[in-house]
Amino acid sequence: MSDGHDARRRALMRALAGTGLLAAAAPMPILGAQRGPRIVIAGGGFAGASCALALRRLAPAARVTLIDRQREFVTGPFCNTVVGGLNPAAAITQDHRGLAAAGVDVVHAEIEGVDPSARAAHLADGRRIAGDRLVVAPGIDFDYDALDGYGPEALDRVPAAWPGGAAALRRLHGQLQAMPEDGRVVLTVPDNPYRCPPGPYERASLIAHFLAEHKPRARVLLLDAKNHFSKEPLFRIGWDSRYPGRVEWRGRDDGARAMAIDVAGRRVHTVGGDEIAADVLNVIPPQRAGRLARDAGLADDAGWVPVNVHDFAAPGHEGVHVLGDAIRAEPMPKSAYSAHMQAQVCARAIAQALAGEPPGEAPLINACYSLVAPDYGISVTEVYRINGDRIAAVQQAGGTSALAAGPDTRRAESEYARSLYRNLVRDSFGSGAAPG
Amino acid sequence: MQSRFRLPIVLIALAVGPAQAQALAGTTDGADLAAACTGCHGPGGHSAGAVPDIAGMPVAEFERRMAAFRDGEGTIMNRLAPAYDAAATAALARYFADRPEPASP
Repeated sequence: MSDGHDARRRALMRALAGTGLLAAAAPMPILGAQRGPRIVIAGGGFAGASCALALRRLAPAARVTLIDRQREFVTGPFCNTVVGGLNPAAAITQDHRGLAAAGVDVVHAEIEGVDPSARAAHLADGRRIAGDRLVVAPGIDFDYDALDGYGPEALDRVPAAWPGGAAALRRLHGQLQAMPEDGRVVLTVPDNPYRCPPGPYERASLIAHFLAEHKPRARVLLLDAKNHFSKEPLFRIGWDSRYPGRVEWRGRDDGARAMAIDVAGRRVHTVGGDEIAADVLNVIPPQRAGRLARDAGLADDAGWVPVNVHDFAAPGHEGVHVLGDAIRAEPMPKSAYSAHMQAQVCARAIAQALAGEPPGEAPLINACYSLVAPDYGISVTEVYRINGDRIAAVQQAGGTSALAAGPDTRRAESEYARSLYRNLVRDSFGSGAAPG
Repeated sequence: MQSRFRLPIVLIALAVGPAQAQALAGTTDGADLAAACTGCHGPGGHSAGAVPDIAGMPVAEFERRMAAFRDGEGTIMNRLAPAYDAAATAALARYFADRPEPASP
C-alpha cells in the first residue's frame, strides 16, 4: 500500500521536477498517509522499537513506520552469556514481528541516509519515506580511527562482538574453546562514553566462568582506558570470590590504554609502552553515534548527538528526535533500559504534541544488571528527573547492590536479571526470545 | 540524632545545584509514571519470571510494599522507592491496580 503511494509520489515529483513547483512540494510530509499523522522511525533496536510500540499505544491515530536493514536484532543485554557459552545466540535474537502485530508498518531495507529537513529516510532501493516526525535511533559505530591497526577487516581474527550479531558472538566463543589450556584472554576497554559501561567487566566475568570450567589454567586480562569502572567494587568482590587470581585489570594509570593493535600477532601495544600478547583478543573499540545521525549533521564534534532532554528532539531540527546509544543523555548511561526509557518519554511528547496537549514530565529510570556468574547478579539503578535543560539523578535514590550482600541476594539478582531481560524485550518489541 | 545532619545536607544539595535533583514531585499521571516501571515489571506490570507481577495488585498492597522498600527492604526497589513521594506512589498504585489480570490459560 505504502509502496503504491510512494511510487505515485515519485512520479509526481518527476512531473514537477524543473517546473519550480518541486521545491514547494518537497516539504509536504504526508502525501502518502491515508489517515492521521505519520511518524518515521529509523532504527529497530531497543530505542526505535520501544518508541514505535509506545506510539501505537499513545497515538493510535498516527501511522508509525519503523525501518531497519535487519530482520533480526541480537541484543547487547545477555550477549556476554553467548560469549561465555551459557546461551545460544538464538536466545537473545529478537525480531520486529511483535511490532507488526501491534500495527507498526515495519520496513526491512537499507537506509542510505536521513534528511532532517524533510523528516525523511532515503532507502537504498530508491524509496523515500517521509513523516511529520522523524525518530532516528541509529545506535553506535566503532571509531576505528581511534585505534591504530584495527579496522573492520580485523573483526574475524580479533572480534569486537559488541554485540555485532550472532556470528561475531559465536566466533569469540569459538576462539575461547580453541585456545590453549594455559592461555590468556585479553580485552581492551575504551574510555567513556561507550555502549553498556559495565558490559566489558561482565564479559570478563563470564569468560572467567567458562575458563574455570574448561581451561582451568587460563586467565583474563582487561586493558582499560579508564581508572575506574561501573560497579567496580562489586565486580572486584565477585572476581575475588568466584575467580581468585584469574581476572586481572589494568587501568589508565598503569599505562594500559590500547594505542595500537597487531592483528596478525594478536598483540596490544599500550600507551605505557607494553606489548601484550593474547591467545584470544577481544577489542572493544572507541565508539561514536551511528552513521545515520553523523551523516545527517546531527552529531557534535565528538561524534555524539545532543538532544533536548524534555522530548529528545534534535535542537535546530524541527520534528526530528534522536534516541538511544547515539545521544548525549548524561548522566544516563548508554544502556538498553535507558534507550527504552527515552523512547517512552519521546513517544509521550510526540503524542501530546499531536493531540495539542501540554507536555507532561515524568521521571526516568535506568536499571542494569550484570552477571558475575550464572547464579551471581549485581545491579545499578538510578532515578532521574529533568532539571532545566539537563537530566539529573534524584539524590535520595539509586546506587548499586549492597557490597556485603550474601549468596541469596546475588542469586536473586541473577534471577531478576533474566526476568528483566524478558520484560524489557516484551515492553520494547512486543514479544521475543528469552535466554536461560 | 538525624535532624542534626539535615541542614548541612540541604546546603550541600543547594551548592551542588543542577547536577542533582530533588525527589519527584508534582507528577501524578499514573500512566506517565508507570513508563519507568514496565521495563523491569513488563507491559502493564505483567512480569515474566522472578520480577514481581504488579498488574492488578490491590492499592493497599502496592502502597504497603513501597513503604517497606522505602524502609530498606528488597534488593533494588529499596534504591528506587525513595524517589517516589506519597502522591506519585498513590498514582502508580491506582494505575497498576487497574491493569487487568493476564488472561487465564
